[in-house]
Amino acid sequence: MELAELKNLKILIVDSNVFISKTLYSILEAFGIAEIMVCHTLEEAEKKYYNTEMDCIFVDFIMEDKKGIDFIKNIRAKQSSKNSSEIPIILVTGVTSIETIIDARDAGVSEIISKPFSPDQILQKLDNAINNKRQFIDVEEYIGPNRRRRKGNKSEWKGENDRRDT
Amino acid sequence: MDKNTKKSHTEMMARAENAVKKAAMEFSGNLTDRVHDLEQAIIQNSPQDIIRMAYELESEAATFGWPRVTRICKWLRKVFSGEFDNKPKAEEILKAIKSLKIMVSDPKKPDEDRDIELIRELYPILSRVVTDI
Repeated sequence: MELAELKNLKILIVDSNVFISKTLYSILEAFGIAEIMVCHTLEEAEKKYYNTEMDCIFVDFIMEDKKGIDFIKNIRAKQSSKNSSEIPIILVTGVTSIETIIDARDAGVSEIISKPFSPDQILQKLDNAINNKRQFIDVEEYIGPNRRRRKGNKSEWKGENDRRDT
Repeated sequence: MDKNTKKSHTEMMARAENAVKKAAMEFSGNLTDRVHDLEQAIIQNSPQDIIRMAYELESEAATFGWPRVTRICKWLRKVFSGEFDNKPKAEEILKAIKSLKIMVSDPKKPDEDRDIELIRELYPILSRVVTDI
């Protein structure tokens, strides 16, 4: 990711843990990102999403009894006048069970960072979320980035109509 | 990446690493008090506070290099969230807290060997209650 590109980003951090959000803030600040907003409650974060333009959201999973996932689903379902519902969302979580990852993926997160995180990892996921966006899917059962990540690694299709890229 | 860009990138990563180190020092400075607060929440039987405090400590300890503190806090979070496989006994919870207190008794001088030994002693209890800990 180009340094000049980082400078122009507007990032929202949503985490009830003051210490972790402060650390994430310091890392993003060290990257040269000038506009970093922090919300410690989901209510605050929702207001921010509807009223302020941003390029990416970092959100913790377990906030307020695991409602971080509902927050992500709401964003995916409702576009705001300031932000597209396709906005990159990076889930930051200390809970890395299979269920959590599946819940997060099904809620429509763009990337997942497990704690402990490192500056390297944050930069890589941010770059991926912003510059390597997957196709956005909006169907009845799911709204979010395409959950299939693999490209060019497909087995031979033996049926009549290969729709895997459509 | 040209030479100048590479230099700027290296400087940027160094600034970020420094920010993490600074946060880690601040975390260590408060660790004993944080574990004390967690113990008080357990004594007062306040599950929501325990889950929140344990999760926060679990995440922060993982980020700032206290893996065994992370493990015990994860166990406590699971126990008080009801995500256990076998019901814990009160004395097992107290033993876990006691080990945690010893681990953070002097955060400026962490003792890895002692902490490994404490986890080894505690492991049969941890894994009896939460099998995949």
